[in-house]
Amino acid sequence: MKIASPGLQAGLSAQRQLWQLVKAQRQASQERQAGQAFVAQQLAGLLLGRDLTPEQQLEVVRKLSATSDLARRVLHDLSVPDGNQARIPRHNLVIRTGGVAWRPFPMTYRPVPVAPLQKRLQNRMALALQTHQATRSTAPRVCVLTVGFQVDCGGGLSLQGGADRVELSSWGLESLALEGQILKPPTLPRPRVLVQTLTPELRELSNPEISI
Amino acid sequence: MTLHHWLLESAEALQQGDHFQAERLESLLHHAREQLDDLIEEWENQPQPEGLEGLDESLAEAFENLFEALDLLELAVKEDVPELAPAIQTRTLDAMDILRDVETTALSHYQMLEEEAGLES
Repeated sequence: MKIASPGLQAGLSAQRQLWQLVKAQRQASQERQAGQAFVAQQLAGLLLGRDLTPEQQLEVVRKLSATSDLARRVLHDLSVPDGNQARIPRHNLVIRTGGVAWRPFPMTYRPVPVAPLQKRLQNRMALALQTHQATRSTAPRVCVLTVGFQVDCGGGLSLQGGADRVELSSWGLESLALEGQILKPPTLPRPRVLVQTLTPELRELSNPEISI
Repeated sequence: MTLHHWLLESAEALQQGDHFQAERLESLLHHAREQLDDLIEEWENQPQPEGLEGLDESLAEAFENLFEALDLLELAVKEDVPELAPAIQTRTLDAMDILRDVETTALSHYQMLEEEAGLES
């Protein structure tokens, strides 16, 4: 499956998101190039125009040997024992919210790239929503941002929904509506509907490995 | 598992949607930072002959990249921002490139000086 024409469809300032992403990538690329040029320049100028006495030469040889050894040790000897102990593969996850538990969908495509700062903003908005809903469980939940992209499936175009979604309550919508950025939001299924659609296997799940 | 392999694998896992347990990751990051600190301390205690400042500057750049990669991994897990994965990969790969360049350059200069010393003697 090949992405033919990745086109973001977002209800909330998609153009701005894309522009920020492009700017961040350009800046990171420029910084990286500057770093590489700096290192190349530093290494090219080693011992340039130096006339070393035998003692200095001996000291330089020792330093070169030690530096080479240090670089090799950082590359090959620094280790993280049991590095995978902190990681739980996605297929082993069980997500539980209150009485509802489900396994996350297997990822069949790469997530749509979103600028890290935008993602942090989304997380904070989601956190604010969680806090709000903990105190007002009857508040309506609506989706104000979905991200999709077009994929080429053997010549035929189809629209596939992305994984990024920002949900806001009416409380959150009010604050955003001031800037006039809200499109008509779709309605999300209520938790009761989610429970009804659970498979028996998941419903009987009593000891999930991880709860979020 | 070497440090840079671990960083690259962790970034890949973040992109795949794997979950990281923050407490366990914290101890791994602490261990990695301690190892780097020990090496930096050892490196700073070495003599600094004139004419080789470029090696030190380059090594500093590599260490900085590795520390940044560790910081970004911590931030990505703590704040749930898997979008930082490419930045982690970039920092790690940059550090590896620099370290390989430093190793190669230091070795070539070392051999050149050894040959010169051999010819003179």
